[in-house]
Amino acid sequence: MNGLIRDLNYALRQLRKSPGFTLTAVLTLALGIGATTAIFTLVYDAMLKPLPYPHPERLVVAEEQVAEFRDIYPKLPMSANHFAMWRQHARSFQSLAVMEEESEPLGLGGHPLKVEVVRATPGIFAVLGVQPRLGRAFTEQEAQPGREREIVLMHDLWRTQFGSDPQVVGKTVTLNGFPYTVLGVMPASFHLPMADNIAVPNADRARPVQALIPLAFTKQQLAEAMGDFNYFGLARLKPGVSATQAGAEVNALQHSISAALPADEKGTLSAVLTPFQQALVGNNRKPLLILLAAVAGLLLVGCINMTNLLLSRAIARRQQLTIVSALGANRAEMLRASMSEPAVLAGLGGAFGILLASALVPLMQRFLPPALDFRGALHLDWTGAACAVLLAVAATLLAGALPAWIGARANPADVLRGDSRQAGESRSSKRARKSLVAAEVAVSVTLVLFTGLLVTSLARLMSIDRGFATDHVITAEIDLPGKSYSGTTAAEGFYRRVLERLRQLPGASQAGLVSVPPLGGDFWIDMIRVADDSRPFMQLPTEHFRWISPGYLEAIHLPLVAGRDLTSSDQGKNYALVSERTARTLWPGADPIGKQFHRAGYVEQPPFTVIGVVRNARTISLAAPDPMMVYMPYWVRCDDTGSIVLRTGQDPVAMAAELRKAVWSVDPGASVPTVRTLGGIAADSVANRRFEMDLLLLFAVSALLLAGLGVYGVATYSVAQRQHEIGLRMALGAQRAGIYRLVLGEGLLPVLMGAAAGVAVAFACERLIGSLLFEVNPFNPAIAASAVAVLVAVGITGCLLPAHRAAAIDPMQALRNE
Amino acid sequence: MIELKNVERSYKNGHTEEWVLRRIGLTIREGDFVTVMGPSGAGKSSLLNILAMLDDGWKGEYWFGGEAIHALNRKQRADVARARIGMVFQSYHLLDDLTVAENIELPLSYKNLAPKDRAGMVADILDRFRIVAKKDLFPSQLSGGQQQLVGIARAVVHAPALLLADEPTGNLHSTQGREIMQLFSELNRQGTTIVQVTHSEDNARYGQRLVELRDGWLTRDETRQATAAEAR
Repeated sequence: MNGLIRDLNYALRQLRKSPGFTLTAVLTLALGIGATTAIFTLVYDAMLKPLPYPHPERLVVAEEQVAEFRDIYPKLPMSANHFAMWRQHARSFQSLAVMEEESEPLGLGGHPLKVEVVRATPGIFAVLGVQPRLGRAFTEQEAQPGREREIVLMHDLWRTQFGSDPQVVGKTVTLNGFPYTVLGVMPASFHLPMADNIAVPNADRARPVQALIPLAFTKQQLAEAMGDFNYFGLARLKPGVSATQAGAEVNALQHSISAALPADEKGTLSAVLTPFQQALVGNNRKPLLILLAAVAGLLLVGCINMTNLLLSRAIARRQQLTIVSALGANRAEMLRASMSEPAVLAGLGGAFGILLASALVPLMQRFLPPALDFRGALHLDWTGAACAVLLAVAATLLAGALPAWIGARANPADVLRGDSRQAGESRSSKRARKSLVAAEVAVSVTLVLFTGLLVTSLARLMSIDRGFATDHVITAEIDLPGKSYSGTTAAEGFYRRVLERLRQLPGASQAGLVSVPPLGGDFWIDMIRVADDSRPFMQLPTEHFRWISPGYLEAIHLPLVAGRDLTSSDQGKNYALVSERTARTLWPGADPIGKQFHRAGYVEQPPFTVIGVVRNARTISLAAPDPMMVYMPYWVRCDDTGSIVLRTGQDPVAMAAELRKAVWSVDPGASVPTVRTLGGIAADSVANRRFEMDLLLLFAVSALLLAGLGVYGVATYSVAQRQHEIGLRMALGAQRAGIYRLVLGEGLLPVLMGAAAGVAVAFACERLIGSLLFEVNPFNPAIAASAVAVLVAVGITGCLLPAHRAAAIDPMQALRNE
Repeated sequence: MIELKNVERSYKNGHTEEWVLRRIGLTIREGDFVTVMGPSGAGKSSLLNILAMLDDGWKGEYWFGGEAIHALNRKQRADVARARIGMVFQSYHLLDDLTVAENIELPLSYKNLAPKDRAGMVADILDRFRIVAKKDLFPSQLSGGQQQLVGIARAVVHAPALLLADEPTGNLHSTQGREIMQLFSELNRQGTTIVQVTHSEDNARYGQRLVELRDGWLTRDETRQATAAEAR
């Protein structure tokens, strides 16, 4: 123990003598350990930390599949009919619930508070294994149509809106214009991830669920065997039943449902059960793992750098170590002495790394998958700190082992003889140092290449022709109280008056209405039956529907390619617009204008007549052209939620207040939860990609810096070691340019080898990154060449100063020193 | 061939100036074999470095084959040295990672010579020094005498007019030293002008002329007609 303390003291003394080296090594390690710990904390929180429910491993998300819809929807939420069937017959589940999430205005009067409400079947409490802390949960009897006016408040809502009133149970609150009786208050520790955030990739940041109300199905809903796929299903498996076993059972049930379907609705049903946590992580799993791998790569580069620095010191200190050896130290003691310096550095690096991580971890909150962002503020906990300590130990072993081994195996006789040739760096040591540089360059090239691919991908995504214009457009989400606007007529009247007022605003050039703004998510899918199409219902093509007002297309500059737009004089008529793709698919080779169709489930209603064809665009996702689109007039159908789209001649942000005022001037009870520019919505639609790219960019730049430092360190050491040789070469006639070439050539060789290896590694990982790219080939030679060029430039920069020093060597001095 | 007029060399040491060569005047004719002697710190190696054009910090006039070296810049001096001067060092200064043949070829690689011509010149010198069998060995595989032999071969491979040798036998056994000095005599007979720095009276006898330095001053310059024969 005394020996260990003495070694550590000695190491500290040595490090104090070399402040530059110590600072570089500690900062390198702190950066690597801090960044890795921060990303690990994020990944741990998202993917490994148990969900805050009893036996969370038994929770599964239930989804359905319809083979005929799989092209559009690989998976569907559950239907009410199938839920009822499963609940009655499935034996694998201890409990089963379905739910849907909605935003509802809470309270009466002007500008009501909009709250996130989950409408759930009563089984939700048993599934999540939780009961209200005040009052009680709702029962099956209360979850019946017409009796579902009960509410269970979340703790936060109870605290903020009801002042933590202990007598709140039994009181009445107004939700969506209807009176609801408060049944209970959930515990503070209870959080419910929002179903929408799971179902909609790239959804907005999570809005916490603030209340639970009963979900009651009508007889019509329960009778619909092949529709109403709208409910997020969650089940608790019985103890000892695996998700696979349960999946087999519900698939058998799905099969029997399929078999009983009428001929017109014949479809092939199946079911998918996914562990709850895995479903919450969703599409974010791969980016999270890539980030973790990238930051681990950064740490590796840092460790390699430190190895190289320590190696130089070990070689310089060989004489000292051999004296220790000659005085009787055994190899283990020499190893311990050699490892004490890296151990002290790793300890310091780890300590600063923990500090850095504690500052970085809160910034990671925004990278959490939205569905998992419900556990409160992300902070560095004991798991993260343990990760940092482990990394520091790993860094000590990784960075210190090779230098210690080289130091401990020095032959005392050779070193003490003072023969410079024998005492200098051995060929194997030189090879090791160059291999280390090649390794760090390989990791850096991989990171730079991946970053280049993501940057190019994002640039292409943002510059792609969207088919509509986002500039000078502001949008506002409108949420009308359901009680006052239960039918299309009432809502349509409201929207019409709002649009009239908006168009009169100074600076407004056009205003329109749409069910979902461009890039605001997917919403309403239905099927169309054109004249003479006698195919069964399930074989009809599916289209994405939007209800719009006159002026909407013009407001976003989405052009018509045939026919005309809706006008206010068309009011009440069953007209429709279709996209080019819809027109070509439904009426190939024919003029679509004047053609008629029915919504598939409503053939008894009057048909729609096509009056215009809208250009194909990318309004659902920038990453893919829209599928078949159908635009219906809002007087035929509109809901109590919609979006205003306003084109202005000025800065659209400046119109936000005017826009809200115009809405409230028509009805102060209308909720306007969000007002955003269309450009902002477009940017948000690629926010996840941007986050991933930003982080990778940060890691790549850090790795480049470290790689540059590594090349510089090796070149500097090599020049110092070769002073005599370079002096001699100059005495024998070598010119300065030749010495530059000599140093650059030697320094760049491992860079080129590492770059080649890095490109090979990146190409081998093509499957990892390929799915994150948009219109960029992962084998893109130009990007690969650019990544190599960047590293070569870094390598040249790293070699230039040592080369300059080499060329300035005074041969006379160098030879005299010999 | 060489004429030094009032050559002086000093080094700044803080606020003081330390003189290592003072007002040196020296004429060396073609074919001379000059030995420079003197105690440590007398300025012998400094004089040799000036003659080798490795040092730029001196004052005075240096004429080499009628060319005013003092008027040339560093690059021009390096060009002259590369073409006309060869150097032999006390510690041989062979590069460990290069073979005997590669070490000898090193000064040729800094001239604009075709690889074929370089190979021919190296082959000639290996043959002339009877070290063909050792051409693929590395310096660490040679004895000290053999290493110095390679060092001399390297110095004369490009047939320099002037060969400068700094304690060429300082690290060698006396028998090996004698062989090296006989080789110098042979080269001198073939027309190479030689300037050697040595502490050894025995080695000095191989030269025709003895120059002595003390504290930077040239204190003795005498020609000894029979020294070479005497040594033999």
